[in-house]
Amino acid sequence: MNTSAIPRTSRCRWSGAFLALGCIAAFPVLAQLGRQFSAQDFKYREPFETPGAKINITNRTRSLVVGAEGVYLTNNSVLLSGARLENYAPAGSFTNLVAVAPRCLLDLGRRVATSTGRIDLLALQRRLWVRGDEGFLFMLTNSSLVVSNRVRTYIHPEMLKSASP
Amino acid sequence: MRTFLSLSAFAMLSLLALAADKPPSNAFINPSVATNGMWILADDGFFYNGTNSVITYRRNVRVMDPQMYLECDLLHVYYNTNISRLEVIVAEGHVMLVSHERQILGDRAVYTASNDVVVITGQQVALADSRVVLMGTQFVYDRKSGNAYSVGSVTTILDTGGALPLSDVLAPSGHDKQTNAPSDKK
Repeated sequence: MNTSAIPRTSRCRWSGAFLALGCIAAFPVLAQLGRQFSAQDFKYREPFETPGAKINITNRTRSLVVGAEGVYLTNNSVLLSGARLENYAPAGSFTNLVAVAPRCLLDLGRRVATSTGRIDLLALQRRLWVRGDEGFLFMLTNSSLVVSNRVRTYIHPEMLKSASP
Repeated sequence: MRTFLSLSAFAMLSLLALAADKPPSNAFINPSVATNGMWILADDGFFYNGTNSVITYRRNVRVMDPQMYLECDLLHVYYNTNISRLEVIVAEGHVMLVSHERQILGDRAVYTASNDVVVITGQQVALADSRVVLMGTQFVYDRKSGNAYSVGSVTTILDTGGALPLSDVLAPSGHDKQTNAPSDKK
């Protein structure tokens, strides 16, 4: 075949078409590769929103999820190992709750952290300690935590003291 | 030379930043456990609501502390976030409270931390100890003094033990010891 017989403009058109087809074929593969990212010291922060008709995000942190390692899975899910979940009080800057889980799944779409494994948490100035071995669900947007099945709680005597002197 | 110095300074700063920001994998939660604290065990989980400052336990809930043991189906713990103190505990469904050889059965119990008092209510609340069973609708148990009393109408069932006369059952325990003392000497 004599390539010189094909006009130059037509050759460019063909090569462009091949390149476009190649890109279309390679796009899902590249996307999959891109979504298997893993990151050290993963952090996700959920801010407080001001009440009212309009949603206004404040700069105050409501919940913070930290992981020693985060692996990005599909559907906005991140698998965290060595996870630490923190919840902050609406007024003031003190921490309401700190929980530690060896592994958990963070759904960035629904903003929930879930696991079928163990969780240890300390709350209320280390006066409340809870351990669950069979899974949990932490909702970042409304500061609530559900620990499944058998749960053990220890309440420190300081917490049982009456507020009045 | 100048480039080398700036590069080495940048490398040093990067190393310092890496050393300061440690990964949280070594985060360890260590509770400070005292002997006079309270333990709560539940079979169907725990629900913490940071917004409403309430913790809920479900199914086969058991509460243990040095002064009492309590069982129920559902338990709500209300606390004050600002001072990190417990305010009220509400136990619901098949409530059983055991304290100082005394057992109280009811439908609902409310413990208030400010006065250290448990109020047990229900359609038929029973208080039983070794010698008497009281049936009523509301009993108040003072954890500080260890006393319990009923509010409203109450039915008393005395256990005479079969052989003992009623006067012995009604006599206070100190009186029993005094009367028995001479016979022990013999």
